Parts: sequence; structure tokens; C-alpha cells
Amino acid sequence: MPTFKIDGKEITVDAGTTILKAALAHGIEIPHYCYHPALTIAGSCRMCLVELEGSPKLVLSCATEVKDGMVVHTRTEQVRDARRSMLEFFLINHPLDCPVCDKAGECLLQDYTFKYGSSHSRMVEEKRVRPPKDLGGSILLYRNRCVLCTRCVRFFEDVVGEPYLIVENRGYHSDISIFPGRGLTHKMSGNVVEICPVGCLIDKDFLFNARVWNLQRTRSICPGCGSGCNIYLEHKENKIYRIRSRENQEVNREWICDDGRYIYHAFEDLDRLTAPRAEKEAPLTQAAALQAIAGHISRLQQEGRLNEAALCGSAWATVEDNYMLRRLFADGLGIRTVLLNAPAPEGEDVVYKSGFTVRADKSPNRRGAELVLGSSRELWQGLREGKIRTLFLLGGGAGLHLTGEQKELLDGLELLVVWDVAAGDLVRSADLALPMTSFAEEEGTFVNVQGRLQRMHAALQPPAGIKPAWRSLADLAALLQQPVTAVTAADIFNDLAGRLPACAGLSYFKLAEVGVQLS
Amino acid sequence: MSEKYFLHNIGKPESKSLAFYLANQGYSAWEKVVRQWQPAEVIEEVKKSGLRGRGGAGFPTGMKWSFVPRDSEKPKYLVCNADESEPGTFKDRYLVEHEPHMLLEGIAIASYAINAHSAYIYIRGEFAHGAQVLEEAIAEAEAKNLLGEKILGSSYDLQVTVHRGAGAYICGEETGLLESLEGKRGWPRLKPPFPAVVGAFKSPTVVNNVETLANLPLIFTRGAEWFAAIGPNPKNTGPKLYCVSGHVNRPGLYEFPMGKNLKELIYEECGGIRGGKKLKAVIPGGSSVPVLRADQIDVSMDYEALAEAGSMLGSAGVIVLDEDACMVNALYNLERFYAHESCGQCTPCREGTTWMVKILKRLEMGGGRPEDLPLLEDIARHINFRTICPLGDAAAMPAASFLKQFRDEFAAHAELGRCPQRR
Repeated sequence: MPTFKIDGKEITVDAGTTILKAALAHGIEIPHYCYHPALTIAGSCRMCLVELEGSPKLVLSCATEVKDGMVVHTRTEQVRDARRSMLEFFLINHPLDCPVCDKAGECLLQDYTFKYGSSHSRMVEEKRVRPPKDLGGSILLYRNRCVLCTRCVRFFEDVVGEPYLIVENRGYHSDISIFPGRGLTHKMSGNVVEICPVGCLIDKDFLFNARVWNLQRTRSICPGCGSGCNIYLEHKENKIYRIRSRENQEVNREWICDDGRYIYHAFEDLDRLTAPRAEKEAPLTQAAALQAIAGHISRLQQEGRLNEAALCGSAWATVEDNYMLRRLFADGLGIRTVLLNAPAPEGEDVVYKSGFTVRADKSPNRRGAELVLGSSRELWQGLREGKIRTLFLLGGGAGLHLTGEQKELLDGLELLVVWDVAAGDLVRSADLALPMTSFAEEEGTFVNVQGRLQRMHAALQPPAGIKPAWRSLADLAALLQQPVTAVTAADIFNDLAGRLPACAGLSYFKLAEVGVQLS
Repeated sequence: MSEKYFLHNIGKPESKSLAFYLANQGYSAWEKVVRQWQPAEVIEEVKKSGLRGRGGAGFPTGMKWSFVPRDSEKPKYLVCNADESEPGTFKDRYLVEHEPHMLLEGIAIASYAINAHSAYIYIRGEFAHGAQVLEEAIAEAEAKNLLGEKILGSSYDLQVTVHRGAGAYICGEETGLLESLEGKRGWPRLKPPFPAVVGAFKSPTVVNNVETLANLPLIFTRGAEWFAAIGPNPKNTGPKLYCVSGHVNRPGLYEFPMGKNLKELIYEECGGIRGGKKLKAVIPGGSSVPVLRADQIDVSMDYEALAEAGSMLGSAGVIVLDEDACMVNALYNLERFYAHESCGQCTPCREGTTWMVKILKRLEMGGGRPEDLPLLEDIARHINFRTICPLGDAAAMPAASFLKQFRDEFAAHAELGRCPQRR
């Protein structure tokens, strides 16, 4: 374990650690463009040059390993001069179009120029002007803003394992480009917009939509598949503008796929179920709907037909929603038939070079639902046996379409009560449908395919009158005089942590930001 | 030493044939080495000879070879750098085209020393004729079992392959060359690791210049001690090729011992300055090295003496400029070359070289300003020593030295706003 001195600070690091990594880990900023922790070292931007005592030249901190006894300086005049000059080189041909650049506010060229650059330009020559290029897919290449760090090129080589982007031409005319005849339509493409340190790679989906400093960031989990990628929802005025990856080395590292990146659009134009409704009737009030359900349950109890009822959890709904369903109907009322509504896997898992995986299981919480429901059976299989007459079903999967057979199975029920987000096929088959919150509107937890329990936060206000499913279940429990109470999602989670061995000892507000691996 | 070693056969077109080479004791050194010498002894002998790399950097050849890890299980490669593209340099081309067997014999000895069984000759794309000569020479040598399998009854195999470049100066830089050899974009690599440890195809590799390798048969024919006695001092030994171009009466390729006096070379060997003009400047080691003024040329052309004079031996490409030459225009010309050949990988070289060109163009053609001089100096300083490979330095050094040595001329351009010689 070598020990070295950097800016007077003595630091001990693991053998093989570079100066740059050591510095960053200890709060010493060394500016850099081409360096990215997940990519091979390029060493070409030359921003991270530092002074090493005994070396005649400045050394590349991203590529120089710490050796015992090294003395490094990052704030000397020589280092400042190198940074200033590098920024001057980056800017001589840069269009300085920050006012219309989407990257402004999160641009390393902007940030470093403010910190280390010069306030005026000595360039009086004509600039190199290159029109933006549409790379295909969702990505635009603003070539004038490129610093040729090649992060995007190396991303496809190192992380995806399928080269897509290249450097074209030579020297001053070097240019990021794509193999002829191809478009940047790869499922992982959106990541290059995130790792581009400047405003060169721009997402058409976000183009001119918002200034980044006006956006709020909320930590969430991608609902697109079972991977449970950690994401930031970026939103303002109750609307999501973009989704960005959130680093979690245990799950998605720093990447997300484009299915997840643009998934919020799928929830934007949903035909929302905004109030409870009975079959083909005018909307009910929440109270009337709950009364109707309670009435039906009392009837079943009186007639001794509770064994004809079943509850069905959902792989799209949170752990808390599913747990509340179970507490009320199974633990409280004694309904023994437990089903699970989850999609059949679509094809195979897609695994990229770095290990990043897009799952065939397109539901985000199958493991979580299974965990809290206890033993359960697949929804349609359970229905096919024909013993179930009443079904309490959690929906939550936006855009779920039912087959003819599935519709018939549901139509054959005496009573179908559905909680769902959209007025889709399930709601149309329901005798009684109650609304529930959608993606980004509810806090709670999901368990991914690896068994990692992860928390997400609410970013959006649901439309008026829409509550989380767990809340209307809690209201129903009160009406049925069941001792199941919850005011917040945290109450539910803490209750289940006390009852489920897999979650023993966990506390909602103490869940680590990277989640908890359940045993 | 009046005896010519490299240029002995000048004017004899048959010099490139194997029969001619064999008739003049060709491959006798190789025969001796492959039959009687141990690789470690070969390296020791080359160290003793004092041979330094003739590509420009002057790194001791024997030492370079000794960096190849012996215990590595990976194959080793010997790569001959025949990508000669430094402006003012035309020595390797002669050897390739006229003495291909001398080169092949050197390649065989070097490969044997580092235990390589594959050798590549990376030849500049424009040297189409040279590549053909080499291909033919390799076929001839293989037919006589001088190369190929179980060479001359020994257990040693060596396959030599000619690989043509596609016309990029940067591929003469050894790591850019290796990338190109592997079929990739010729972008120089970060060092360390050095090619001796991780070179071609991730394996230990030695890259040697054509002229360096062509010295080896001589060392093993006459002995390291004899070789080391040639030249001005033990640090600068052996025969040397000098390429003289520009405003002299007899430009061309010359051979003298290491340490030829530059003034003698220009005024005696090359017949002085064309048209009886006065000498203004000399770039002694290929276009990348700092320029010398006329009063600085009484200097031994060896690594140390030229460094002391403020320049470098480089490739010994001597470019002579007479009193009529416009130094701003000359620098403009040089910088256009470097800007064109910059690979674009590192920021300062990619952006800085073309910026310098644009400024120099204004100074020369119109629109020059006094503040352009310190600006040019700043740009050169900001490129120098701050890039992955030496191309950045090669572009910066001439700019810095031209501005320092011929300040008045640059100032006159800035004052007038254009070249005083232009109308």
C-alpha cells in the first residue's frame, strides 16, 4: 500500500491506484475529460496534468500509478498554466453557444473554464465550423462542441462490447462519427449523452425542453424490467423531463438502457383511472366504492363463501401495496387463495460486455411481490381451475393487454375488484375499479431479480383524488374493522420488517441508498 | 574513415540482389551469429559497440533490447521502422531500395538477440518500390535458408513480413506504428508500458530504425571494439548517414563517421551555398529540431554537441536555408506539415498546430500583429512536453526556436503586417 503526498496531504492507497483516482477519492479535484472510471484510460485530453517532484514534465494523473514516496502538486503555477492553456485550446473553436446548449449547467467545459480558464480569448482566426449531425436514433452530434475525449467511442467498446462510434478524419479535422450505414439506435445509446462531458452529444428527447438547473432530481428505480436500475427522475412543474442513470455499482453501475431512459413517456398519455367506477356506470366516490366492497365481503362471510375469494398481488406494484393486500385479505380476513399478476418473460436476458443486463422479466417487483405474498400462484392458472368466484386484484402494469381467454376468465367471476393506474383491459373487465398512483407518484420499495430491496421516492403529485393502492386498502381495512393501520409507506414497510424474516431488522428510513441485498 | 559502408555500392543497381550481397561477404555476420552466438552475447556486443538508435531519439540499441523480458511466455516481435517521413530525411529509403539484404541481415541479428521469430518491416506507404525490393529480397533470402525455418542448419526460425503503411507521419512514432501494424487507427499509445514489455499484439516488441539495424552486420563482421572506435567519443560511435537538402550546391545523401562537423559538411562536402549566397540557417536533424543560425554551425554532429548548441542530431536531416529564405514562410511551411500530420488525439497538438498555422499565415500573407509573436511562443510552450507522443514537441520546437533565433524577422513581418519580400 503506497503512501504519497499530494498538495501536502499524506495519502495511502491500494497498489495500482492512479494519482487521479486517489485525489478524487480524497476530495482533491483534478479536472479531466477523457478519464471515466468505467472506461479504459485514453490519456488524451491532457486536462489532468499534475506536477510530480523529480519529473521533468507534468505527468498524466489519470495514467500514473501512485508509488511510495511520490510528491504531487496540483495547484502550482505550472499546473494552473497547463489547465488554462488546455481550456484555451478547447475553446478556440468552440461556438460558445451555452445560452442555447442543453448541456449548460452540467457542462465540464463550462465548469472548468469558470474555475481554471481564462476570461478572454486570444483567438482572432476564423473558427472551425461543422454543422450538427444526426447520428440516428435519439442522438444529435453537435460537432463544434466536441472535445474529442472519445468517452462515447470507448463506451461502446468497453461497456457494451459492440463498437458503434468511431473517430473519423485526422488531426484538426478529427470528428466523432458512426460506421457508415448505421444509426445510433443501440439500446444503450442514451448513455453517451450522459457521459459526454460537454454539449456534443445531445438527446433529441430533451432538446430545448428545459434548462437543467430548473429541474428537480428525485431518486427512483426504473420500472422497465427486473434489473431495478437506479435512476434519477428529473422534473419540474409536475412533469418528468428526463431520466438519468444513478450510480449503483451493485446493480446498474452508472448505466441505464434506453427502454428505461424513455419509459416515462409510457405513463404520460395514459388514460388514467381517476375515480372509482363500477361496471359501465358513472364514477363512484371512494367511500361508496369501499362500502360496496365491504358489503360484498360481509355477504361472503355470512354465506360462508370466503373460500371462493382470492387475492392477487402485482409484480408492478410496490412491496408496500402488495403487503397491504396480503395483510388485509389473507392475514385479516383469512382468504387463503393467493395469486400473482406478473408478465411472462420476453425472450432472453440481454447481457453486455460490462455485465449490464436488460432482463427478459419486464416487471420491476416480481421478487418483492413474491416475498410479501408468501406462496402464490400465477394469476391465470389459478383462475382456470374455476374455483375462484371473487377476486381482489392489484394491477399497475401500464398498457397491459388481455387475451380473449383472459377476458373470459375474468368475465366468469362473480365479483372482480381491481386497483389500477390506467383504464385498460383489467378495469374494463372489473365490476369495481379503484384508481391507484402511477410510476413516480408513489414512494415505496421494489426488490429486483437479484433480491436487492431498493427504495424509490415520489417525484410527481398524482392527479386529484388518486391515492396509492395501499392507502385505499388501509381505508377498506378500517371499514372492515381490521387492525391494519398505516399512514405512510414507511409504516407498512416497518410492519413487514417485523414480520418477514427476510427483512428482519430493516428500517424504512435507514435503507441504504444502494439498497439492501436480502438473504 | 574514408571507407564507405552504407554507400559503398552507390551507382551499382545490382547491389540489391542477394548474389551481389553474398559475393561481398554478405550474411557472414548472420551466419556466425546464428551458429555460434548466444542471444545474450549478441546484446552485450551491441551494448559494447555504443550503437544508438538512428531514428532520432538516439536511445542505446543494446539497452533497448535488454528491456525485453526473457522469461515472458508471449512471443516477441522485432519491428523495423521504415516509415521514414521526417521532412529533410531520406537515408532509410536508400538503404531499403539499394541495400535490402544489409537491412535483412540486421533484422535477423536483432530478432535473434531478443528471441523473436516474427519480424515486421513497417514501411511508409509511399515507398511502394522499396516495399517491392524488400519482398523480393526476403524471397531470395528464404530460398537460401538465410531466413525462414531452421536457418542455416540451426534451430532458429524467423519470418520477416513487410507491412505497408497508409501514409501517415504519425505511424513513424513507434507506438502509433504498432497500432497501425495491428490494423488500428495510428494513435500513439500512453507509455508506460513501453513496447519492450507490451508492444505489438500485446507482446514484447523492439522497434528499431532501418539505419540502426543496417549497422548490425558491420558490428558483427568487424567487432564491437572496431565499431566503437569510429566517431568522436564513446557515446557517439559508428558510421552515420547525413541527408543534406536545401540551398547547397550538392544536396544529397552523405556517409561519414558519427560527429561530422556541420560546417565542413555544408561548405566542403556539399560545395557551399548555392549561387554564392550567404548562409542564414540550418536545421540539423530533420524538421522537428531547433534551428541553428549561421554562426552556430561549427559543431560536431553528435548527440551531445548538437544538444549543447541548442539543437538535436535527430535523423541527421540537414536542411540548409540561405539569406533569401524567409524564416516566417519556412516556419509556416513546417507547421503546415505538423498540423496536417497531427493525429488529433491530444488536445494541444490537435488544436495548437492549426492555430499556429493560421497565425503564421497572417504574419506571412497579411494581417500580422505584434502580439502574434508572444502568442505563437505561448502556443508552442503550451504544446511542448504536454502530449502523448513527441509530435507535439516536434511541432513546438521549430516554432520556439525560429522565433528566438530570428526574432527580428518575425518582428518585421508583424510590423509591416506581411512578409517584406512579398508585394
